[in-house]
Amino acid sequence: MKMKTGMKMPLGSKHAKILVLMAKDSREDELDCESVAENMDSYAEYVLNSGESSRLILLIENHLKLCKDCAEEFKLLLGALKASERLL
Amino acid sequence: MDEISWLIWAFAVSDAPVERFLTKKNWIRTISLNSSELILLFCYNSPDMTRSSELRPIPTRHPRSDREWIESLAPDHADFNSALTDLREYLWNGIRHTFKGSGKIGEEHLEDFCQEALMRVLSKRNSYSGKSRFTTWAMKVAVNLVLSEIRKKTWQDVSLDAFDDTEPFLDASRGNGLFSPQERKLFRKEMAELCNKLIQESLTDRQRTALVYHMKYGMPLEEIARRTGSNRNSIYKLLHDARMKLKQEFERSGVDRDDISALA
Repeated sequence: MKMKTGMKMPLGSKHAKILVLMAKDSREDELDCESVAENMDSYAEYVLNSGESSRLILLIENHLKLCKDCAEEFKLLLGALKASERLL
Repeated sequence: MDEISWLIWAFAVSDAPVERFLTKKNWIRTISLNSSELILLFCYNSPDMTRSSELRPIPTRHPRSDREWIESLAPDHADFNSALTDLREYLWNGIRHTFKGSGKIGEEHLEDFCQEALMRVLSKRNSYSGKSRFTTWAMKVAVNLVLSEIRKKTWQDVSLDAFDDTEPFLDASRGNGLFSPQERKLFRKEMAELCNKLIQESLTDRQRTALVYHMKYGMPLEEIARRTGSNRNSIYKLLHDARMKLKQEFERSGVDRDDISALA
């Protein structure tokens, strides 16, 4: 494992607070990154077209709140779709 | 038709800026020719296309249905070149707009990545399930590839020795005006001790390590996975389990979300 382990003082104040809030939002039935990636395109259309909410939508939103990597990817996807929309 | 000839043709028959058609052979950027000159150059360089009758007419832009996209992107389809040109333009426009100026990567790399993204969309098009429009799906594939490449490039040479894990857990000088300085200091001190204790005692070493590198240093899940010989989903699950464990411990300890929010 190419990672340093055994850290004694892991997080600064702002990260500690984020962690507490994230812990509160955590749930057993969270979607994983793979499931969110699979549905990110249909979720993007839901957001762009103000579609109808569903349990899947809620789970995706929950995941995006907890996973900053997927959240970043989704934000970039929305930006790219908006930029290219005029070409269609 | 070789790649350069295709590029020249694609540029000549469209009204798109020349930079849309740059590839790894980006010599086109260094010359400045109008469409007619490019067609001429193209004819000189492509003996099999020198007869004007073989030049394809300027494609009429019409919205393709998802089915039309899939069908026309088959290499033997009559509309293949036109569909490929349109798809590349569509992806490039989105990718360039989104990533250019992010400071994360140079435009020359973006061009390469966009080209790779186009290839990936072509190779994966049969896995398109129809949950969204084809173009939305294609953009998702492209953004995922470009972002993954950027993350890899950003992190591949980062040494973990550069990270300082001795940063104090909580900084008592921060906070807003909702609490008196004494209250804030005391609360922060108590929270610091509690969080430190829970992270140290409740999480496994793997969970703690992944959590710190991801949250504190912003290391992407994919990079943690690469360094630990795992995959992104497994790292997400590792962090999910850590959060669930901490959630239980916070609830057991009576930590109130509103109190934490008030200390922003």
